[in-house]
Amino acid sequence: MGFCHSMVLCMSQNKEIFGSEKEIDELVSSVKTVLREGAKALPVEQARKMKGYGVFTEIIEGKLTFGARIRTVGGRVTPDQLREIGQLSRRYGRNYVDITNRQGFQIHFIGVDDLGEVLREILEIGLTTKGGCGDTPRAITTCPVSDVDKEQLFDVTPLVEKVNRHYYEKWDVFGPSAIPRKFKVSITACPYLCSYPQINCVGLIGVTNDGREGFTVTIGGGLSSAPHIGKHMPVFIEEEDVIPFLEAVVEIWKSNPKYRPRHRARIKFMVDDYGTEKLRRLIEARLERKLEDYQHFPESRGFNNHMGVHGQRNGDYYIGVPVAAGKATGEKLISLAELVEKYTDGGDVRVSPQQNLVITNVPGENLERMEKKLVETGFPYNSKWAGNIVSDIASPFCSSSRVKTKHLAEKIINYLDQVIRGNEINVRIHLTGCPRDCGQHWIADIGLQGKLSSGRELYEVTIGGGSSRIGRIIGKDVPAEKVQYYIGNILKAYLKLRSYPDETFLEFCDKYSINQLAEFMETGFRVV
Amino acid sequence: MEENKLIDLRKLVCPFSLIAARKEVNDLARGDVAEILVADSSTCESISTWAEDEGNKVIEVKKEGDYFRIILKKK
Repeated sequence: MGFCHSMVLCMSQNKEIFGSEKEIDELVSSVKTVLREGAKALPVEQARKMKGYGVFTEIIEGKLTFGARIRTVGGRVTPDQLREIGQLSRRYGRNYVDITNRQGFQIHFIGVDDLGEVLREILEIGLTTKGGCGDTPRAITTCPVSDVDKEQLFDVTPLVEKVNRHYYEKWDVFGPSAIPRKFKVSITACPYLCSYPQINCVGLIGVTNDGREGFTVTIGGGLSSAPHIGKHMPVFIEEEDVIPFLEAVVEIWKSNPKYRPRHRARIKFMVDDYGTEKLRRLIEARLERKLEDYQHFPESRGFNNHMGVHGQRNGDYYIGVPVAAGKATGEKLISLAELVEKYTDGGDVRVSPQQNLVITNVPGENLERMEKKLVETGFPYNSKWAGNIVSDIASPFCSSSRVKTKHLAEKIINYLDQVIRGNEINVRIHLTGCPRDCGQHWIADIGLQGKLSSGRELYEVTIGGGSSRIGRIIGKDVPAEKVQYYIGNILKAYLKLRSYPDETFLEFCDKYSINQLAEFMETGFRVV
Repeated sequence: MEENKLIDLRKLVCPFSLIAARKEVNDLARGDVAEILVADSSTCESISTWAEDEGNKVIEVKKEGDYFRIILKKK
């Protein structure tokens, strides 16, 4: 089967570095040993080797099953790969697939006896779960349309592929036994910073300097219960220096025992301690040369999730396809693969950091038909809100969360599609089911963090987050059943009270105190 | 009074820690008390959430230096 073609960053060459049958066999046999004989039966070294293989335990209705997180490179999959993911989910995962905000896929409900087969098939199609979780260098996030979109400063795709490959080639430096905790990088030259580089350990943002293409750096970002927006390290790095730069950061991080205890082990805490100036000097000392200055930080032009139809550089079009809260079915993915094969000119599919999909290389004459087919296939193509809402996986799949954020996200989408119509609002809503914040609620225009209290789902509401700012908490313990109305209220207040038509939701929020915003949320704009 | 059963999972990582905790706790008799030691907060959270969902009583969750101790009573 042709899983690779020129548009896709396929991992078929030297593919054993991305995972092997031997590793999968060891993982599955270790799982079975622990299931049968308990913790003591598994040698510590064996367990360590299996770290970060993208496999999760999921106890659903008392039954132990597994989730598999599939990494992509830059969010890209060929139609063949997408079809296979869909088929795997139909065969082993109750036809359900999550689209993740690190631009991958997650299949659930996998029985222990099927786990090896699923992981082997993922490898077979040129993808992997290795490095999907745990203390690994996670998938590099990037703009899904870096190579085709007209507004990109330049295409970062080759660099994303190169850094990703380098991680695996040097698993002894970047792998789970080598680094203190997870390491997250985003590389982008998207003027909208749609992959949120500032919430990554290291964000490389494309700029030009005297006509040369390169990157400036944001460092020390990360969310969870101690949210940090990355700080600008005012340097200019050319493409060939990116890997040495990342290696220097990792070596400094690893060399200080202060960052070995897990709760202090993230890069963001190191940046807190050192500051960017001292860290820059340490990096320069490792590199044995000075880094070039670059003072200007390229702020995001605003929010753009690349949904809808856009012209490509080559005259074709790409189409952003919303996936409500990242919930897809195997059947829909299979249908999408067929549409891409039928109506594009060698196009592919990309996962966006907002848990949506993008189809590339649609010729102008096929646009109308493609859009019609997308609706027929069941994607919420005409929804204004589906593409703007991100949700973590949460209950029942995540063992840390007890709330059903995806379910609530769907309710919010349905409600807002009824009461807040039109395209005039560009507001992002993110939901997360526990303080780890996989749903990135701190940087959403409206963020929701859930908990279960005495059997009730309650949400903390934040407002006014952005790609470079953390939201403010305006509500605590809001019952799940009220959340959609509260969001509707504040959006109505925004529509009514914005000072001018182009005033963004963030600008609107900045005009008011937390108490005023909380009143809007509870009562709409009637208080004014 | 019988001693609590000690289940030391500090050397285990995901996905093994929850599988092991489940196996060891399921093997306890009703009313037995176990102390589970884990290395990090997320494993601690996963195991205590699972244990409660199964109807066990989580008596205490405590940070002890660089690890966590979960004390639970089997349902």
